[in-house]
Amino acid sequence: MDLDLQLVGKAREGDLDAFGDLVSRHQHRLVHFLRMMMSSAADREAAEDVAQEAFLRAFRSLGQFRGQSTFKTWLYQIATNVARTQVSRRRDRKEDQEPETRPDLPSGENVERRVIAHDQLRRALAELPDDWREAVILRDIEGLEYREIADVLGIPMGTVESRIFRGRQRLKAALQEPHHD
Amino acid sequence: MTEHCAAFTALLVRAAEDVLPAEDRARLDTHLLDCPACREDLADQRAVRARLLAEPVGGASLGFDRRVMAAIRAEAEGRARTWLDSLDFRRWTWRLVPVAAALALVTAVVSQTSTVVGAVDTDTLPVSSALFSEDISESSLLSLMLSANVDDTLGTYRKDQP
Repeated sequence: MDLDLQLVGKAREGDLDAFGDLVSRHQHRLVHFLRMMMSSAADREAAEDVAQEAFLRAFRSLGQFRGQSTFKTWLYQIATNVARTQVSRRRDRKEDQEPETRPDLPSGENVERRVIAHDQLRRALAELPDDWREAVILRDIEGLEYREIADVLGIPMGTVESRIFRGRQRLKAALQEPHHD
Repeated sequence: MTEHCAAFTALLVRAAEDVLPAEDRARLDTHLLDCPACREDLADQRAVRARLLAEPVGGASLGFDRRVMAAIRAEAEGRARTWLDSLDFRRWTWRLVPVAAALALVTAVVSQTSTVVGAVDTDTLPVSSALFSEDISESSLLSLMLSANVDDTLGTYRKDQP
């Protein structure tokens, strides 16, 4: 049996350490996913706030998890909903400002080039329509299968393919534009 | 991209990831031979995917999982406390206030209804209702039962009394 499902089973029986293992197993990818998803608005702290809320909701709803999808897919579904609400609130409050913090990148002679490239990609992602960005990130950064993405976003597979195609096209165009600060 | 090309969108997306089944790949290749726009699209799809894959993963900060679990443990303990609290007498007392108020209301309505029923003009009741009356003596009841007609009312009987 899938390790996640075993841990979910134990957590349902009240084993909090088992849920802690689930958190440990998924925390890094989930926070990374949320940082990319909320790239126009979020630094790591904001992404972690959303990730924490997603884990809390998952814990509260463990009884509703039927195991029809993987735990990861279910968790991402919850996280996507929390992130959408958060992004929407930020937009409403006009707090959608660029983060001042820069990501932790390895040191070396090409650090500056990599930081610029990262910023450019983050900006390009931020300009995508939300639903295109979600599909592209889930596929090309998180590596979810098409069926899993369809489950997370609640859309047909054909729509997933279409959003990824258009999202990549738009990104290509945005990444080719000269960057101005 | 033409309308004909739109049918190849799904194939282009997956071809950029090299996960296309052989049969679909052959069909796409045939199309690409005559379609420079789709060839360009495929190159773009590949380039962007490669760029995204190369993006470094910036995970959660140190201690994030501990913070999450602290919040979850606090919530779990809160749930247990809430359950125990529900057994607390004082809380039950307060929770029973609306129930007590409802009972008081029902009692008031019932007693008012009884008063109304009591106010009914007993003179028009059939004489047999004296069997259920508490304000008639046993000897009077016996006398009434022996002398009264079935169609008489209590009023008729009372008028005949001294």
